Amino acid sequence: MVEGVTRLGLGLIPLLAIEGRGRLVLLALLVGGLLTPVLRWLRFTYRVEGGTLVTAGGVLARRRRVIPLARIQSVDLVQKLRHRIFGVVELRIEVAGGSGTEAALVALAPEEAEEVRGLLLAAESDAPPGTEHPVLARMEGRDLVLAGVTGGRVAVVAVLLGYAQDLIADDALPSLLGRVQSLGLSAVVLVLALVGAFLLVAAAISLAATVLVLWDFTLEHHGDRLVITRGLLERRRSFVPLHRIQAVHLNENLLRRALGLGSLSVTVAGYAGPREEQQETSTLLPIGRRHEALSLARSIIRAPEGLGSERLEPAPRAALWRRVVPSVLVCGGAAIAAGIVWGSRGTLLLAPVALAGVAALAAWRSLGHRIEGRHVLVRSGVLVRKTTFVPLDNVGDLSLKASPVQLLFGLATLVFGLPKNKPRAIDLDRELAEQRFDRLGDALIRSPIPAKAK
Amino acid sequence: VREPTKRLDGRVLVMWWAIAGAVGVAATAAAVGAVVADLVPTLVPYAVGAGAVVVGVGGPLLRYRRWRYEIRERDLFLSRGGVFVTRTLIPFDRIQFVETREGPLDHAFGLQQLVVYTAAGRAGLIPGLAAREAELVREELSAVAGVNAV
Repeated sequence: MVEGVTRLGLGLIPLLAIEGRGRLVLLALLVGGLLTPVLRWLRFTYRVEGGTLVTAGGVLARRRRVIPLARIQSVDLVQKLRHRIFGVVELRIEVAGGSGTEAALVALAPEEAEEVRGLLLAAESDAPPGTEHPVLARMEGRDLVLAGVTGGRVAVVAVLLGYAQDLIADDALPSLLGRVQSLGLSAVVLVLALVGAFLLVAAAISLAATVLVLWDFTLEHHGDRLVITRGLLERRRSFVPLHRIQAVHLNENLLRRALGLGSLSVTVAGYAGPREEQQETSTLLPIGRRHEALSLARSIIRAPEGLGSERLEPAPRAALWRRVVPSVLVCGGAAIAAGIVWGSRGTLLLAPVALAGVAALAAWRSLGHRIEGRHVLVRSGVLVRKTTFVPLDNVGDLSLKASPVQLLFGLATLVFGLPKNKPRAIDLDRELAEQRFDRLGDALIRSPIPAKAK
Repeated sequence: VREPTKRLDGRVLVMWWAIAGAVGVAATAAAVGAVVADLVPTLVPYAVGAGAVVVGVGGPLLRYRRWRYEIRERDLFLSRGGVFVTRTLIPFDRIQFVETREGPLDHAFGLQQLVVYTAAGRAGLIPGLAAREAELVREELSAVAGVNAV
């Protein structure tokens, strides 16, 4: 309807300017433009019957879509600002193997939406109505602040601010510096203050964004699915069926790792949709103490108690050499060349060699894996350390890969094929990797697989 | 680890050589053109040509010799890659569907590609199977696929 009114408004302007037959044609188009949304609304029907959702609609081309309830992966209630104004909710339905939102009931009364969601997911729900839903996680104000200030958004905002700095006139900063310096402050203090202020602004912007998105974040356990509620301007409820969860990730960026904090996200099968949305809906715990996040992760995929990132098998020494040797060769070579060309000043380039060495060491230390029963844990990443819980029952295919460099150092990587995600156990000793490949392959084909919901 | 037993059809090697040859000729021609336009030294086309022969003949040969597949008791096992070595195991249980493909070039050589999908998407692709063999494999895999697949 809103769409139609806008079109009418725009169309009225030329209507006054045109004479004769043109005016008539335009009028017809205009009425058509207004009528289309009305017709679309009149035509659109949906019903749930015999284990299927049937939607029908379309103005010129009629469309009828039948979706078996069993194929429905998730149902989201979305309330954007425009929905809030009219007091309605959009229901988005994701289907296994679909490439996006397969069907959307764009405007329903909230009660109706809840009811329809219940019907659509009836096949799966087993919790009797009226039961208390245990709250697995909730964000307090303190957590919001912590999440905002330590989040990756700070870095992104800082980078953007850095670009924005280019917009300021070239001489603005030096002249400002000169003026402040005349007040008697030392240059060091000044630089420190500037950097501090810069980071503060970045953190504040990030904090604001975090508050908007994660306001009143709650993770609840409803029967066999998780329910996430969040958002300040746009309230959002997502439903994640537990058995569709393919893998759970613990993410720790540098800052959070130092503070013993991390965030938890999940990969959900058949959950397509826009990238940004997909990422947000898959966050189970925006921030939390590391051990709490780990135990939440374990409980969600029913992993054995001992499976944490404390006792991972580290990558072999060869994996360190594989990282150190090439970077030191490249940087060292550049430093020597520069030393020859520019004399002693060129040897300053040796600093990057040390830096590359440290980066290699950090990358090596972040690697690790562990197999426990029918679960695998893999870890990697320097700036954001990612620990992934992989239930073997979700693994579609298993690969063993070796690049020429890995072959040279006697290393190999195991790749677990999951929907939307390919966790890797990077740089295992080649022989060990082959043993693991055989053993895991056996586990994949021999053990009984719990029947998944059809 | 025991390697899979079956090789690709020999015609695929000829096909890969044909593709590599076409690319090599094009690259050499471009290099000759650059010499005519006086952009690069006269030696360049010779180097490009020689490189194209080595890579164009050796690459497909290595790839063909390394490519193996086998339908085992309960899984499909692939091994491939002359330089980047990869082994993949796909349990029958996890296979959602199987398809055969035939591009124009495949058709000219009487070949087909076999693609195996799991819930994780495209899990494996076997290039260069004889059309009959590809159909046999497809039927065999379809019959055992997806016992527990979502």
